[in-house]
Order: sequence, then structure tokens, then C-alpha cells
Amino acid sequence: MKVKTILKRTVTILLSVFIGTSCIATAVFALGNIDTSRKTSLTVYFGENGTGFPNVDFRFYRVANMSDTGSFTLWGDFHAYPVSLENLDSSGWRALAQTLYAYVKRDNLQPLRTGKTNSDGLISFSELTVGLYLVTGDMYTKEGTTYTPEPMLVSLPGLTAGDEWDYDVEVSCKYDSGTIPALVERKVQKVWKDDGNEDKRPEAISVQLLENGSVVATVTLSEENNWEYTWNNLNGSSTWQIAEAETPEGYTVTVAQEGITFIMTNTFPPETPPKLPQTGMLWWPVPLLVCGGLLLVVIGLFVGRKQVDKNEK
Amino acid sequence: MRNKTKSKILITAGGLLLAAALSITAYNLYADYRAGAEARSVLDALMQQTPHTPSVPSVPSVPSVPSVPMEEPPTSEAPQPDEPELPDYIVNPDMEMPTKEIEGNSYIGILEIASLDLTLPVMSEWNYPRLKISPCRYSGSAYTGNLVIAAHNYRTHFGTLKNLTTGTEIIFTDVKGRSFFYEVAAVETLEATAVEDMLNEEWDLSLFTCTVDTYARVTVRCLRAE
Repeated sequence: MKVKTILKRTVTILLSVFIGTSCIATAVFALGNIDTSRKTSLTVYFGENGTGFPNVDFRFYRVANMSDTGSFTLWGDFHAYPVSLENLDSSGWRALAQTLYAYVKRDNLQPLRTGKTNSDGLISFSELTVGLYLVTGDMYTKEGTTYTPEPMLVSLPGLTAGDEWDYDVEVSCKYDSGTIPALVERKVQKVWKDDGNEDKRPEAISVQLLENGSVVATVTLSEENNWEYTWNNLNGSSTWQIAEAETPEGYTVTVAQEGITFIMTNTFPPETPPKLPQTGMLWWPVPLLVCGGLLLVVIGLFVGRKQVDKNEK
Repeated sequence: MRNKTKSKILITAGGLLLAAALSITAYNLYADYRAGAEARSVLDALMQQTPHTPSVPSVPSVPSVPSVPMEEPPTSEAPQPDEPELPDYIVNPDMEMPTKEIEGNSYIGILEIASLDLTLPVMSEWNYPRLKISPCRYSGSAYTGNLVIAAHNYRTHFGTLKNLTTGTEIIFTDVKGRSFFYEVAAVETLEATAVEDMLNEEWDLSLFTCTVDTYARVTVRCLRAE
């Protein structure tokens, strides 16, 4: 009985740690199925050190349906975008939010709900159907410092640390803060994750630079420029994003921003080759041929010699 | 008379087998020689195009990526859009390794194994015609620390790989002139079907080639030298 209890506790701890580090994707491991007919609510806090930022516009987009086991399927305006919702870690979800936000701006998608934060920096929405939501907010300026909320993806319901589904989710909005420089630089780097399928990779792809959601430049990335490009002297007060003009067939795309660099990753579903390459020269027949040849020659000589002896007799 | 005919047939057949052995040997030696010459020619061109920059002796520290906002308390990290950038491969280890094109093939760098007196160019992607010219990247990247390089067991390529011992230094230099230092940590033989084992990311660099019987792969596992 005691051993059983220890085992049970160990399993519970391990499962909690796993869920805590694996973000939304681990939803499928939750105990109990999701009640997909139940309404949910979401409250977002945007502020610093307990002081909320008031009167900031936020927009909510419904990105995907969520099954009773916690898996997602792209929905509505988002269903045709070449992105994957599977096997994502926390940085993968963050990159996906940035990728979808760029599509929202470029394609001028209409939000499901909009609203402003109250005096405590809170904004709430209720009566939301189960699903995956993209939340974006406007920049807030206070005493010369700007606070730019990061786009985020939130699953409703969310998973608690206690391994239960929470239908009334509260989240804090992460943001970047600082002063706005006059001019900025932005760089794009292409990453291909398509081991074993490199032949499906196009020779070049087009990347769009978005200024406040409008396409202002398009560049071509290829091996010739090492799949990267830098834009200089951009207006520092604008919001800069990038989007792939056309994602190669069979690939998905994510765009993650690290400092001034946009890392645009195209992924092709991995296909493990059945065997390692054959890197050997054909040496093995040589000893067999030599032995066989020598044997035949010796036997031939022996038979010939026997015939000579016979003739002499 | 019948025995005399038999003798002639046997000697002729034996001679044919010996001639076949000789032909295969000559072909292999020629292929080996030609592969060495091709690799040397590419190496000369690649070295001329590769700048010499200070080496990279230790594992680059990769900046951690913040996790999803819903799990994180708010932070106030100031963006630093215009500060000098770290080397691109440290900021983004997943970046494509830059390449140089020589005679229609793309190369990612130069592999140096001084103890075997080998300095070879490494092609960006493998296929069988390319493997006849130089070692090729099978998978991974020097930046993410999971580079796997395949080559034929020509004496001028990886034929002497099995002679490496633990602690031997190996250097890979990318086409931007940045050198990555490794030490041999293990030499093992893997089955031809052991694709997952070959891609084991425990190792920073893996080199492999066929065994003489071609059924298995001699695999040299390396770790970054501090």
C-alpha cells in the first residue's frame, strides 16, 4: 500500500513538472475530457509592478477549435494559414503567436471581440466558446516609456498546475518596454527544417516587410544571400513585422522575433530515411575472386599435370 | 585429351576471376585517387574564399527564449534594437549554415583531422554523386551542435577514420572562417539502419563511413573542446 502511494505521488509530481514545462500542447494529458459545450471567460492584465495600464485597446481572435481531448484544429479566417499547432514547446507557441499576428495585420482580419483595459489594467471577456485564442494589444506610453504587449495564444479552457481544466482563465500580458529610437534595423534569417526532404525546398522565397500591417517591401531570400536580408533606417515609431509571401507546398512557417532579427522557419514533416548512406567501396568481392581464381588455376594446373603424367606413362 | 580441355577451362576461368579482382581493385584505387584529387581541388578554392577569423573555442551560450506569456509573470525587458549584435549563429543557432559554391556544389566548411593528415571540404547536402567528390553533411549544424558528416571510405576521405582514438582533435571551420574545435569521445560501429542512433544529439559532431564489408558504419563521436 505504502509503495503504491509513493508510486502514485511520484507519477503525479513527474506529470505536473512535465505539464508545467510543456505549455498548452500538454493539454491532452489532462485528467478528464474538456466539456466543449461549456462557456469560458478570459481576463488579461496589462501593467507593471501592480499598476495597470488603463484604456488600452485589446483584440481577441479565435484561431482554432479545441477537441475534448485538447487537440487544436485551425478555424475560420485562420484555417488556410500554413502553420502547425502540433508538437510546439513554449518558444514554438510564442513564435506561432507572432506569425499569426503578422497575418492578422497583413490580411486585415477582423477580431471576434475588442475592448479597452479598465483603470486596473484589466480586460475581461465572457461567454467565449472553447478554443484557442490570439490576443493582441496596442502600445501604451507612460512618462516617455512605451510598453508594447506581445501577442499571445491562450487556450480556453487552460490547464492549471493542479492538472485540471480552468474555464475562467486569467493571464498577464508580457510586454517589451523602452524608448522609441528614431531609426531601427530589422533582419530576416530563413531556417529550413526539412532534413531528408531538401529536394522539396524551393530555390528562393519571397518575404514581405510590413509597416504597421502594410506591405512596404518584398525581398527574395536564396542561397545567394545565405537566406538572410537586413533592412536599414526604418522608422522607429512604426511596428515592423514580416510574413512569407507564399509558403512552399508541404511546408509550415513560423516567424519568431529575437531583438532586431526575425527568424523565419519553414518546416517539412520529417521523414526518416530507412538506411544510412552507402559509403563503401566495393572491396569485398576482391578476396573472394582472388581465392576462387587461384583455386581454379591450381586445380587446372593439377588436372593438366595429371594428363601429362598419364600421357608419359 | 578430356583432362587437357578441363585443365584449360579451369585455368581460363581462374584467370578471368583474377582479372575481375584486378579490375575492381584498379577501379577502386582510381576512384580513391580521383576523389582525393577532386577534394583537394575544391579545398584550394574554398580556402581562398574562406576568411581567417579568430577561432571559437567553447560552446556558444544561446540566449534563452522567454516562454509563453500566459505562464509567465510580466517582465519589463527593454528592447535593444540598435545595440551591436552577437554573432548571428549565437543569436540564432538554427540559422542555415552559410555556404560557398564551387563548381556547382555548395560547401559549408572545412574539416581538419591532423592526426590522419586529412583536410577536406564538406558539402552542404549529401547525395551519391556528391559523396564521390567530398564528405557531405548528413544532418545538423555546427551551430546547433549536432553536425553529422558522411564520407566514402576512400583512403583520401574517411577510409582511415577507424584509426582515430579518443582525445584526438578535430577542427571544423565554416565558410565565414569560424573554427569549432572538437575531441574524439568515442569510436563505434552502427548498423546501416541505425538512423536514429546516428542522429543522437548527445554528440556535437559525428563522422561516419562504411566498414570494409559495407554492412555497417564506422562512426566517430566528438564533443566540443572547452
